[in-house]
Amino acid sequence: MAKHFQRKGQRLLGLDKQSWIKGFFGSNAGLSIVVLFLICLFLMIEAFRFFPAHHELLKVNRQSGQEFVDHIIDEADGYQEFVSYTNQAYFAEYDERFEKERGIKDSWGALLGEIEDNGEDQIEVLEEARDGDDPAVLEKAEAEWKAFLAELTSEVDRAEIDSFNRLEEYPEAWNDLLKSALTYDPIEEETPAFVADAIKTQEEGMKSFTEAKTEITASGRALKDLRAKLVKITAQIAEDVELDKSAADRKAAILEGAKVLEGEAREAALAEAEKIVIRDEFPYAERVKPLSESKENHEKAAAELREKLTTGIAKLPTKFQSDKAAELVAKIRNGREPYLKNLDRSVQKASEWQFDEKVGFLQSIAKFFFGSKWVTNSSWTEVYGLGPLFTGSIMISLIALFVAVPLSIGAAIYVNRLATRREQTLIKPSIEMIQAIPSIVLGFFGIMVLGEVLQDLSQRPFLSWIPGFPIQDRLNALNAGLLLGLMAVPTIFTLCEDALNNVPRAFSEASLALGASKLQTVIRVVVPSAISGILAAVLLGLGRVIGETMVVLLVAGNRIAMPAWGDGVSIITQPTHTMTGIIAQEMPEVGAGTLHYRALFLVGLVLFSISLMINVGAQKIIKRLGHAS
Amino acid sequence: MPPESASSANPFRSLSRRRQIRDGATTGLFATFTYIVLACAVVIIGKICFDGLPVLFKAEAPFVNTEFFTKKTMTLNQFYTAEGEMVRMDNDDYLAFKESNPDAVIKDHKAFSYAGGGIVGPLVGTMMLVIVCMSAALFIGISAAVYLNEYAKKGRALNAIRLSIMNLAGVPSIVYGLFGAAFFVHSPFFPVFTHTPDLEKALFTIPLWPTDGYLSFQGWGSSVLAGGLTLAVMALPVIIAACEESLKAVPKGFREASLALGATKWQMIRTAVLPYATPGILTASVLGITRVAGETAPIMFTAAVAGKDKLPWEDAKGSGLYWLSDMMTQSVQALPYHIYVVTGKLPDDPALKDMQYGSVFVFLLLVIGFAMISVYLRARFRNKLKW
Repeated sequence: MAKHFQRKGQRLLGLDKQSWIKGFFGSNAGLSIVVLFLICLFLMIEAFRFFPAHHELLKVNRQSGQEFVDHIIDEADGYQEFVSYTNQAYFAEYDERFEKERGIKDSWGALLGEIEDNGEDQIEVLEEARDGDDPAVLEKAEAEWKAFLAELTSEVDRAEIDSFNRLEEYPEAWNDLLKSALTYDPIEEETPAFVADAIKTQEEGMKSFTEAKTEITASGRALKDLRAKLVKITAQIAEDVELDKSAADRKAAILEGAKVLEGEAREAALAEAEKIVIRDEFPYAERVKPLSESKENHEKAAAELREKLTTGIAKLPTKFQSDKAAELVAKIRNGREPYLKNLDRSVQKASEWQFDEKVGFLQSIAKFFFGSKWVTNSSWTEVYGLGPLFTGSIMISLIALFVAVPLSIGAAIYVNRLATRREQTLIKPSIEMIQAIPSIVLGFFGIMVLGEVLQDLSQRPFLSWIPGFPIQDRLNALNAGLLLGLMAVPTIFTLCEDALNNVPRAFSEASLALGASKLQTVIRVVVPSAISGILAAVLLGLGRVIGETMVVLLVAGNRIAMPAWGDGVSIITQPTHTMTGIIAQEMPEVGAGTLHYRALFLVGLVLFSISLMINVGAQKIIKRLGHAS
Repeated sequence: MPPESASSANPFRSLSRRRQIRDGATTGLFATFTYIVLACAVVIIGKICFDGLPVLFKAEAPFVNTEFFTKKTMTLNQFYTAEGEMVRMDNDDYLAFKESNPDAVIKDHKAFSYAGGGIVGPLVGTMMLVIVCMSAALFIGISAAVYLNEYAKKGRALNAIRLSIMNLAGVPSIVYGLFGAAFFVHSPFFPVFTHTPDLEKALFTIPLWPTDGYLSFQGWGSSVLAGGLTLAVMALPVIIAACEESLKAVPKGFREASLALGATKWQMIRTAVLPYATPGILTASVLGITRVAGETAPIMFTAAVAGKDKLPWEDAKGSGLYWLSDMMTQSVQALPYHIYVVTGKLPDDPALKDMQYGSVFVFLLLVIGFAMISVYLRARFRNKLKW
C-alpha cells in the first residue's frame, strides 16, 4: 500500500517520471500547433518565392516585346471570333433558306468529283478521240462514255456522301441531277441549267449577307498578317535570350569537351566555342526595333479593323429564317461595342509599350491576383492570373450553397422539431451517412450519370425558362455545384441541428404557453435564437465546399476562362475551373521549384487563407451572437 | 362588459383553418426537403450498386468475380474476331491468346490502359496507406487528447492548441496534399535505409557499419510513408476530437477514486481512464479510417501512381530493414486514385465501364461499411456503458 503513496522516483534532467509523462502528452498535443505552423511555413516558402520569379518573367516579356505582341494576339483572337460567328450564322441561314439549292449545288459538285475520279481513263480516251478525226473511234469513245455515266449514276451510293443527303427530301431534284449527269460532257464542262439556276437563286438570296461576311472577314486581315510577322520576331528574340543565358555554360562545356579531343575535331570544337559570344546584357534595344516600328502599322490595322467591322456588321441582314443565325448575329451585334472598346484600350496600351520601362513589383503581384488569364501549357507564353480560378470556385460554391442551405436548414428544423421520434432516429444517421460518401464517388456519379441527365432535362421545352438551358457542355459549374451542395448538406445539417438543440426548452415552452402554434414557435422563437449557430453552420459549409477538390476536378469541365458576364445567370451552365482543381490537375505534371510549381503553391496559400478566414469567422459569429441563447 | 372578441376569450381554441393549412404546408415543405436529400443519396448509391453488382458477382459458382479482387491492374484489349464478334481481354490473356493462335483474325484492336484485370494493387495500396496513417494518427491523437483532457489547465497554451486544432480541421484536403508534397516528398529531412543513396538529393548520409548500406537523408519521394503521414496530419483533428469526447465520457468519480487510493496521475490514466475510454477510441479510429480511406486529393501527389505491375512487397529490394524501407518508400496505387484515373483521365469509352463501376462499388462498399461499423459501435457502447 505504501507503494502507492511514493512520490519520489528517479529523476532525469531535474524532472520526475510524472513530469516526463506529462511532457510527452503535452508535446503530442503541441504537435498540432507545430503542424499548422509547418503547413504555413512550407506553403509560404514556395509561394512567396513565386513573386520575384514572376516579376522576372514579366520583365522579360516586356523587354522582348512579348507584351506588345500579346495585345495584338488578343485583338486578333477577338476578331477571329467575329469571323467564326459570322460564318456559322451564314451557313445556318443558308441551310435554312436554300436547303434545296445548296443540296443541288453541292451534290452536283460531288457528282462531278465522282465522275472525274472514276472516269479518268474514259475522259482521256474521249479527249483523244475528239482531237483525232476518226469518226468510228469517236463514236466508240462517246458510246463508252455514255455507258460509263450510266453505270456510275446507277451505282452512286447516296448514303456515302454528305451533300447527297441534303437532297433526301427532294427526290425530284435528285432525279434531275442524275439525268443531267447522264448527258454530262467532261470536256465542255457545262453546268446544267437548273443547277445554274439554283446557284443563282441562292447567290442572290444571300447577297447582302455574303457582302457583310466578306467585309467582316476582310476587316482584320492586316492585323492578322501583322500578328503572324511579329510573333515570329518575338519568338526568335525569346529563343536568343535563352541561348544567351546559357552561353557561358555552353562555352565551358565545349571547351571541357575539347580537352579530350585531338587534331581536327579539337580545332573544330575550339572554333565553335570561339563563336559563342558571351554578352553581359542582351541587346534588347536593337532587337525590338522592328516591334517599336510596327506600332504605327498596328494602329493603322486596328483603325481599319474598326471601320470595316462596323460597316460589315451594319450590313448584316436583320431578318432571318434560321433561329440559330438570328441568335448568332445578335451575339455579334451585342459583342461589337465591348470588343471595340477593348480594342481601343488594347491599342492604346500597345502603343504605350516601351521595352525599357520598368515593371513595378506591386504590378507583378497585382497581375497575379487580378489577372484574368491562366495559361501554362503553351509554348508561346506563361500567364498566371488567379481571376478565372477564383471566380470559378466562388461561382460553384454559391450554386452549392444555394442548393444546400434551404435543404439542410429545412431538414434540420424538421428533424429537430417537427418529425416524429421514429423519423428522427432514422433520418439523422442517414444524413450523417451521406458525409461518409467519398467525394470521388460523387464526382464519378456526376461524370457518368448526372451530366447526361441534366443535359437531357435541359433540352425539354418546358424547362427552357431556366437560365442557361439547354446546356451545351455535359460537365459544367451547375453539375459540380449540385453535387457539392449535396456534400455540404450533412455538414450544415449537423451543425444546425446542434444549434437548434441548444435552444433552451423554456423558450419554446413559453411560446407555446402563449398560444403560438408549433410552427410559429419554431420559426419565430427557436430559429431566431439559434441563428448564430445556423450562420456558423452555413459558413463552415462554405468552407467545406470551397476546399473540395475531386468533384470539381472531375465535373466542373476544367475550362480556364473568366465567365462570360454578358450571358447573365446562364454562366452557371458554362464549364469552369477552380483553385482546387487547378492544383490537382497541374501539380503532378510540374517539376519542383519551377515558376509554375510555385504558382500552384500560391494558389494553395490563397485557399488556405480563405479557409482560415471562414473558420475564424464562424467562431467569431458563435462567440458574438451566441449570447442570445 | 361584452367579450372583446371571441378569439381572445379562449386561449385554448383550436387553430384557425387557414393557420392549420399554412402550418401543414410549411411542415410538409420541410419534410420534403429532408426526403429530397435522402432520395439523392439513395439514387446515387443505388445507381452505383445497380451497375456495380454485375461486375462483382456472376451467375455460376463461386458467384463472386474473384479475378476482380486478385488480379493486378493491366491494359484491357478490345478487338473484333473474323465473325465480327467483339472480344475484350485482359493483357495477360490477350498475349497468351496471340501466342496460341498466331493466325487469329484481330480487327479494330484497341487498348485501354489501367482498365483491365483487377484491383488488388489499389486495394493493397489503400490498405497500406490506411495502416501507416492510422498508426501515426492514433498514437499522436490519443496522446494529445489525454493531455487536453487530463493535464491541460486553462490558459494561453491550451487556447492556442485548441485554436490550431479547430483551424486544422477546416484546411482543404488539397492544401494538405501540397504540404505533404513540399514536406514529406520533396524536402530532404526524412531518412531512408538504402544501399544506393541518391547523392544529389541527399542532405547527408550515414554509413551503417557493418552492412554496406547507408542511412540517407534524401527525402521519401512519392511514397506510402509520405502519403500515409499526409493523411495522418489530415485525420488528426477528427481523431483528437473523437478521443477527447470518449475521455470526457469517463465519469469524474473514476479519476477521483483512483487518486484517492493513492495512484499517481499516470497510474490513474492508465488504469481508471483509458480502459473505459477504449470503446470510444475504437469508434474514433474507425471513423478516422472512413475519412482517410475516402480521400483522394492528399495522396494525388504524395503517394499514388496510376499503374504498377508489382505489389509493393514484390517490388522491394534488399533484406531486413532495407527491404522494409524500400517497400515503404515506393509509390502505390490507391483505390480512390484508381477511380480518378479510369474516369477522369482516360477518354470515355464503354469498354471502361466494368472497371469504373466495379471499383467504385467496391470502394463505396468499403467506406460505407466502415462508416456503418462506427455508427453501430457508437450506439452499442452508448447503450452498454451507463455509469
